[in-house]
Amino acid sequence: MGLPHFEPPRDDDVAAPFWEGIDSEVVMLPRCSHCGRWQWYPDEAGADCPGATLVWEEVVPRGVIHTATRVERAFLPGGQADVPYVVAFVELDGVDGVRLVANVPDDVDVAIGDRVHASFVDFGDRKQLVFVPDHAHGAGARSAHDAEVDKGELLVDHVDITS
Amino acid sequence: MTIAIVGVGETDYAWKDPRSPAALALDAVQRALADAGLTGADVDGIVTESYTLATKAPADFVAAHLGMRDRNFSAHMGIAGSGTVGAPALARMAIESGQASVVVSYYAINLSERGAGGAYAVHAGDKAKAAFEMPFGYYGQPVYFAAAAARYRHLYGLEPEQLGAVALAARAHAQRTPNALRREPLSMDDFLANPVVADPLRKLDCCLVNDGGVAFVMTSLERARDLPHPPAVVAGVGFGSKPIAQSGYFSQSSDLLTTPAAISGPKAYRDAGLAPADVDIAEIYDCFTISMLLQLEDLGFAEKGSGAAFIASGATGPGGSLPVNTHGGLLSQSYLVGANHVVEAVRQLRGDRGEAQVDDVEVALVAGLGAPEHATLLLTKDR
Repeated sequence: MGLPHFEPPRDDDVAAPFWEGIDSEVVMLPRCSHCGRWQWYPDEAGADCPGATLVWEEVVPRGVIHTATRVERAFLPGGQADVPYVVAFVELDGVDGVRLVANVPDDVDVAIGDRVHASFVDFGDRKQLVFVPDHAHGAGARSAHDAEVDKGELLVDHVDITS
Repeated sequence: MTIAIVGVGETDYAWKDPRSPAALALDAVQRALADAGLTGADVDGIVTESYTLATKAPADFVAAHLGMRDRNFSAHMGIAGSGTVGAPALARMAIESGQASVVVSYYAINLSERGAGGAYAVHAGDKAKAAFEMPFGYYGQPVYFAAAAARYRHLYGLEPEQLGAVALAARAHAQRTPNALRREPLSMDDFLANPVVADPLRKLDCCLVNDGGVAFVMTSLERARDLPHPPAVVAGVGFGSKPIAQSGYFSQSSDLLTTPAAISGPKAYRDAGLAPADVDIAEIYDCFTISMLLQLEDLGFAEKGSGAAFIASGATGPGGSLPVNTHGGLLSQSYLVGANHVVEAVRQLRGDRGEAQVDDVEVALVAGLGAPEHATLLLTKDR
């Protein structure tokens, strides 16, 4: 599976709960302690409601692909992407106003509108959040083409792509 | 009070111009003043772009080198294209209120500059992108606009040839533009054979990367009538923004397919008392083929979802019903962030464009995008 290589900043306190969550195989998102609105992206200004704080909550990591693009050329600093890779926006069920940017396996057919679920992929000394189409999960739902390209990896949620 | 654009100037466009953006800006301003029949001593106001120019080509540097006696009015407008195209909004306020009489605006860029990090580095220092987008490879303007183009394709259909029609029209216009950087012929076969960088965008869907400077000079219409060139009248200008910071704009914006041109456009039309049907030519911020297409729709020239077919019909090319980016735009003339679009509109209104001249141009629209911000400018002949 092609994935981009860019390490999330470990010294960014604002983002830390998100990446600590990914390493623990959960998706954590911040919401306002006063109005409950999901506030994404969080920044150092904190919650927008006066006097409120941002509270991180675990969400169910399932949703729908809003858009996706297969990147064929590396633009990241250092140019260290394993191209091609696919980057997508996922709108999570019941989490209004948030599009999670994440990867999708580049070796499955994925379309906008597809239902997806999270997979936490071993990636060096951390994990990467990858969303896998539900249709790639279980032979009954897969097309003949999917079965052909399937290498078995996508049927499990923990793929060691570094091996 | 009505104002007009009375002088325009461009440096040569190049890759690896050794000059800094500040030096390029100054060169362009001096050319624009010469075109206007004015000197630095006549200038008492500066309005320019804010996102990069506040540090790369600040007003105090330009003013000091121009020999401005007192900078009565000095302001940095919005981000990127919204700042270059929107500058007349602030200039008009300054001139109307008597705070300034001659206002210059400029943009300059040096993307070949050693150590500057190239075209993508402008977003590399953004904390939210570094934390929530770059680890997933959502980085680089071609990737942002590919995400929008993919969604457009899903909702409305978008053939490679329809995006190609934008690039081909820009190139056809550029072939009639002596200072355009890309003037060699471009066929649809060439376009389709060009490599995809981020699906569905090819390299040829992306704007140029270059160095250069552009400037234009504004004063009251009354004074403009005494200057050498026919005035390009600022008939209307609108600035608008989506309620989101630039950090999250390219992923979290409520509707990826509606640009803030949908906000600035109606304001400009209302300000000018004009409608899309009155527009003869449009110079629309084309950092990517898809961004021109989206703004074309947002500005009322085609229904949302039908712009691709409109462009593919040839309407925006030379001789079309609505020629767009008659200089070749950011795609084929130069990446001067919309300031070059203002210059082109002025030259078309003057009738100065030689073989690229569109017949009977009375009304020119200029559209400048800057992530969540947008400006629409309507220029007319003095009528």
